[in-house]
Amino acid sequence: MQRLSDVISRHDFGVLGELDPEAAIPFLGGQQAQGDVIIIPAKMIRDSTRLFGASDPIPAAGVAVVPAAPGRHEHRLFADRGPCYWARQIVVPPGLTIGAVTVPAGSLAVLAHEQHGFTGIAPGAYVIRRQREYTEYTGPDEHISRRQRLIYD
Amino acid sequence: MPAMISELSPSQWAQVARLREEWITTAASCGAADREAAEAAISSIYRSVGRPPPRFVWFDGPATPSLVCMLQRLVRHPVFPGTGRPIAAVIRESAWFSRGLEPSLARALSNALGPDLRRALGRVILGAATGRWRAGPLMDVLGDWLSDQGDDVPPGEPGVAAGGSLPDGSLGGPLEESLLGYVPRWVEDCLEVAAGGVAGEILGAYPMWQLAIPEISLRYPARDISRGARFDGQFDADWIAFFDIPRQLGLVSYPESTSAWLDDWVTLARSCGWWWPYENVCIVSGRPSILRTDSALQLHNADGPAMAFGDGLAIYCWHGRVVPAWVIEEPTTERIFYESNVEIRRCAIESRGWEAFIGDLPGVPATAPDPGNPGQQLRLYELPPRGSGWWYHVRLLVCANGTPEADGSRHLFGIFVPRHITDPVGAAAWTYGLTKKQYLRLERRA
Repeated sequence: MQRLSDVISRHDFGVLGELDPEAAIPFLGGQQAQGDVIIIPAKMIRDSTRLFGASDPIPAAGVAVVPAAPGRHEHRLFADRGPCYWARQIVVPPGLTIGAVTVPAGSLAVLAHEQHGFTGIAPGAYVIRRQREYTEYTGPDEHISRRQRLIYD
Repeated sequence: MPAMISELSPSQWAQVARLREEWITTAASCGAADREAAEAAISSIYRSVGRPPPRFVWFDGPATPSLVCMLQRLVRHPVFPGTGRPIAAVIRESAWFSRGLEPSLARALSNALGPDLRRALGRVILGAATGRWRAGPLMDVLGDWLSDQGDDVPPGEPGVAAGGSLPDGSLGGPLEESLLGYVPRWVEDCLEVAAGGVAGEILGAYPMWQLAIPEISLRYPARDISRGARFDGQFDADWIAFFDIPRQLGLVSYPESTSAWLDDWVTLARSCGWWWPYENVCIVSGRPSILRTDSALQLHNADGPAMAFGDGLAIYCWHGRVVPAWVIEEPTTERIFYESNVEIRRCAIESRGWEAFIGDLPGVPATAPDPGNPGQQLRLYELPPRGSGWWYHVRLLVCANGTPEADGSRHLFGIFVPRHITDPVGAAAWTYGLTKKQYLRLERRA
């Protein structure tokens, strides 16, 4: 079992000091949520993203799956051990799916967030989605339909 | 030099605690800047890098300097792209200046910067210096000092606290963290607000800027501006204290010139706010007029701005998070419902009070265990039907963060879901576009 401090030591990514450095970071092959982002095993869902798969090697600096902005924290995907692959899904109009991740056998990936810490990802193929809510239309920013808006933390 | 820092005596620990309190007071102090002391210290720093002392331009807060620093990047574009209108006219007309900031900037620009604006602001002499200065001779000295303590002390984490703890337990953890580790967050947050407000007001009115000048990032105005040299004055207290406290305790003796250099920084921390050094001019911000924190020393004020400056910049914070003013001033249930940022919404609900907020909601929530989040419940509230507003069509799902806070508590979040969903797990599943059956397979929530 890996600890938070082990994972931190391998990546250039700051998490809040109040997170417990001894906290276990399990590397799971199932469905996992990290705040407003969810990692779904591709075989669980019917989603065109799984058909395209992930082919871009994740660089050492990681990939900002959800980029940071004032008041919003980024979710950054790292290859934790061995090569891992990523593909951003460009969907017009935008939906919940933001991309696909492939972790080959023998590799591990982590998704990092300043407040949530790390989510360990075991070998497998996954789709990453964001979270939405049902709300009044306030403008094109963050809205995926007239009554649905992406949320962020 | 002492053999092992962990052998600090109880009286030395008491001294550390006292010095720590002094430095926290310094970092959090309000009131007028000591301009004379600050100018002397900055002049000394200029001389130490082989430059004559600059002229000084003082501002009452960081908002105006942030704008000035942004403008220096734009002087290549004396007219606004697409409009042909002079930058000065646009600035004058922006709403931000109508709030009383124009005189200070105009005076400063005409009197102090004047014809030198392009030359002085265009060349940022210390652009690359920040890292070098912070990790320069002082760090080398401290690194040597640390390496004398044994090979197992990691750099940047002095062994001061490793082998002992304060008798009264008031200073736990590594010294670096215990001292003032929270300060840099203030700095970035405040400048982000300052520059974000400026950029938003000006650039927001002229969105073509975004296209015409790609190096200006609307999303990161503060980071963009601060890419040049910026030092934080009293908010540099964390690292200055880090080097100063061992010196005051006699645990380390720096070379004389290095020690004198540190003295300049100590003086700055005690006399001014942020400062932006340029070739001939140094822009300096005054200290805050208000600065309030919670018991964890995070910026926080439930009754007004947590930080304010003489130039009118006011920053509202809820336990360290920068929030819009209404979150503190008027956190009504209606405003909370209209807020799109769940973090700000959470702060607003806490500001309003969860009990009061939920008290506005009718009925008893439907509850269910939160998948992947052991011990936590999902709660689905029906919202009060008021008129024909959109919220008539939603329910509020209240869920707990997967990661506990330092005190073991959980942050609660409220997310709106369509009213036709009556099952809490089904509601949570909907937010990710999943079915209830799929969502029940969630293994872990971080």
